[in-house]
Amino acid sequence: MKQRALVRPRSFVCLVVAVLALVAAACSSGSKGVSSSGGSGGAAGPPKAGGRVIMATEAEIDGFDPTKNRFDVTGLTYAETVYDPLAAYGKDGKVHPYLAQSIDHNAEYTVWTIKLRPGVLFHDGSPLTSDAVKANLDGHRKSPLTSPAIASIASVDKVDDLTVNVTMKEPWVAFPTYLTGQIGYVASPKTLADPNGSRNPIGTGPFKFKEWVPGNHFVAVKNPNYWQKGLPYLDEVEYRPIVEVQSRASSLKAGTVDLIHTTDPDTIVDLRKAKGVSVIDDLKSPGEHEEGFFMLNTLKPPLDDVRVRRALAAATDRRKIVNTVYAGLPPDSTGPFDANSPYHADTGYPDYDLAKAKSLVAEYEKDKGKISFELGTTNSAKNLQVVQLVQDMWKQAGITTTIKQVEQSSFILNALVGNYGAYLWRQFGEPDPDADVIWWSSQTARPLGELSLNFARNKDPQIDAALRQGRQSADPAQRKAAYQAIARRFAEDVPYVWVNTDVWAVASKPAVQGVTTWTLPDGSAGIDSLLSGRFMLSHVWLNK
Amino acid sequence: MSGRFIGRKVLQLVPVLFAVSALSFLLLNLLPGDPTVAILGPSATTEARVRLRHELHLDRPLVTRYVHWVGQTATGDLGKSYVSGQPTTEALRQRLPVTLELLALSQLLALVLAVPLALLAARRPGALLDRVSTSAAFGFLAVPNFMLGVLLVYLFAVRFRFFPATGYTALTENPASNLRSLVLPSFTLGVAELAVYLRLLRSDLIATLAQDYIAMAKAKGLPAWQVLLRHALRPSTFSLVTVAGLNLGRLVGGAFVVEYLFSLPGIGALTVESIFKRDYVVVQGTVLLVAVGYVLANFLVDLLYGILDPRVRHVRAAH
Repeated sequence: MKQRALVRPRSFVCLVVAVLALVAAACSSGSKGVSSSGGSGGAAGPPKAGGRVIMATEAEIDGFDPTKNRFDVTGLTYAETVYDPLAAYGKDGKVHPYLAQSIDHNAEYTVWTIKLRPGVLFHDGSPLTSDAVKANLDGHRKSPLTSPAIASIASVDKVDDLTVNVTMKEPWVAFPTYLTGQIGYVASPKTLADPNGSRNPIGTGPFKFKEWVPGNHFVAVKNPNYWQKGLPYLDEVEYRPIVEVQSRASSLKAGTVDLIHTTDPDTIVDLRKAKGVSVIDDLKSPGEHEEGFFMLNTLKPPLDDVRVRRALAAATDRRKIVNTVYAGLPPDSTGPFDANSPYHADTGYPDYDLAKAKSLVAEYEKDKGKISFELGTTNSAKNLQVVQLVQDMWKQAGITTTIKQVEQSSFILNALVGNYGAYLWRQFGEPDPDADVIWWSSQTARPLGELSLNFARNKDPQIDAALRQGRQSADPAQRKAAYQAIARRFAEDVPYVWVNTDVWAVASKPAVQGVTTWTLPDGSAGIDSLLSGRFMLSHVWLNK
Repeated sequence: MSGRFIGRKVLQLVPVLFAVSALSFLLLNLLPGDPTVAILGPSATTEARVRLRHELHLDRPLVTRYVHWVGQTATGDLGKSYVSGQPTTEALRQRLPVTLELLALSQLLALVLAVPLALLAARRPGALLDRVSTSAAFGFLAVPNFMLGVLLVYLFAVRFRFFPATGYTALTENPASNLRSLVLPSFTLGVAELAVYLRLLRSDLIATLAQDYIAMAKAKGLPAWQVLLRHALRPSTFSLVTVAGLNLGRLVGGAFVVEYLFSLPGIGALTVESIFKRDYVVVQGTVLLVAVGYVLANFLVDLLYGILDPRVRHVRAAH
């Protein structure tokens, strides 16, 4: 038997060319289509009842107990099905009562009174009473998770079956904003008391818990006795965690799911161009967005010297980073309040100025020698790109850094104990800046080696005074001045080297409506933008 | 099959399980960080973290914790997830069928395609079919599975909506949806195996076909298909079966990636997530399960030798 060559060169080449041609043909006949942004009601007519929506989220949640499980954006998205928050944001940018009928305060803002609506039932038929609200708030006050944020609460007292008084240790003007988030979701006391409650939630929400297979899917069905008559529109919702962002986007494009959320700029740009997909983003929405920035450890040399920090700020070409790594999509940032925020002002944050950076570096080097420190980020490929780009920018100013990639769990722990130099970080996305007190106050700044919620560890009496004013002052103009003062202090002292504002987007099949057009129970319009990726599921409907 | 043979195999399992579980426990605890970060997030106080570590017994010495875990496991209690509170046995029970189905279908796909192709290729080495299948095999072997997966999703889920892009429907719920949801993942995972099996079987077949008894069978006038299937195939499958068994380890690793890509709620995805969250107890559970599965699979391979080759059976019986 004649043995021929194993692989004939010619046939191999033919095969390769054929495969490449197939791939090229498939990719080039691309999906060019109608790019639309805004899947909100408007021209689609009145909402229709019925239907089922499958949403793909960016992670699985830990559980449904608001006092025990972390509620990040995904957690809040899940919570919105089975629970209602006591308050919600309106289109006017103010906090309105939602599950609560009213939220009032005394003249000094030291006592807040939450009044509930009569006749609201939990999914198991038991009534919503002030006991339930008290159980939730007391649970939060004891919870290692949520108690730091509400440390200023002195006591929670039942006044009558539908009224609760929350007494503060100091005047607290912005307290209601906390009732729009994790602390405001009211779970049945049975859920809170049950050791398995976090996997079997009972709430007052538009949908009743049906089934949760962690990592696979969560299903909830319409609550027939929902206190908002006529809602929800949908019969059933299903959530599926799809961590890999490209798989999530493909699932939407393939029609496997109806709705997704994402913060990845490349994906957002890609989905805007895709056929049969509507995209809503939060670029224009008011309220604080999360920022991407380099967090500097102000207790660790050489970053303890303000000249070095200012040099870093001047050496960072923010626009270039956004254009190179983030597809040019998000705006670059000069402080914690972006252009759409009511607290925005010119902070005097250094522009990109390489000459200035070099001169600051030279000044420091005369005193203390060469500047060198560790630059850290997580294992994400995109973050590595940012860090490599910035390493090069800073090198041009004469600053040497070594890049260290750290896995997420250790990353956060390192920041907490101060075991880092400069970290690429993401934070400060609260709807009201009062909620940033724990991150910015000198009271939460601890020495290296101790757990410090103020990761940058900057102790600034001016910032403390401004935080106090922002918390206690009822005058919006004074609050505005206070937070603008903080932003200016950040620009002078540079504990953070700002890069960009993060963008959230919700992408869906065009039939999905009502994501940003909805009405509050008091009749006014609900917030018409995504608040860090959040939206009210109870008001979503399918236009079929 | 003697009881002694089976008994010996079971006894071999025990030290393996100890070694694997002890090593993984050690490695996990060497990782910096602990579950408190995943559970409490960044905004918890020192006191809260210390208290939680104490509640979870994380402040006890390593050896004590391992011994405690062994004791618990021996009674069938694999503990609870630190993060979600879900009992590990429940999580494994929910996720094992998914991974098993994925592995089974991948192997099946690989074998169902590899065996006929190898037979046809070995029949006429160097012919067009042989060369094309060989080139394709090398091509598939060279492509990383995540890249192949992304490409398949783009082609067959997004461009042409034949299959879903992600997700899993249980077999008991809807068999048709179940199979549809596993076609692309099985192909992604199985295609590299296909290449290996094809090449392996092909070369073994060629060697077998050169033997005298094959010439004898042909001389007797038996049709080609009978010669191939009844006389040549069985003796040529030893390497294939060995590799298929050993491959399980590689497949499980590949399953981690494929499950992540296609969002399949299997053991792989669970293990990866739990490692990130430092959910030690859950990871120990999955590692144990995979170790048991691996040993069992190779045990089955040993049994299969006996079935495939009567000489092995007799040799064993003689001992």
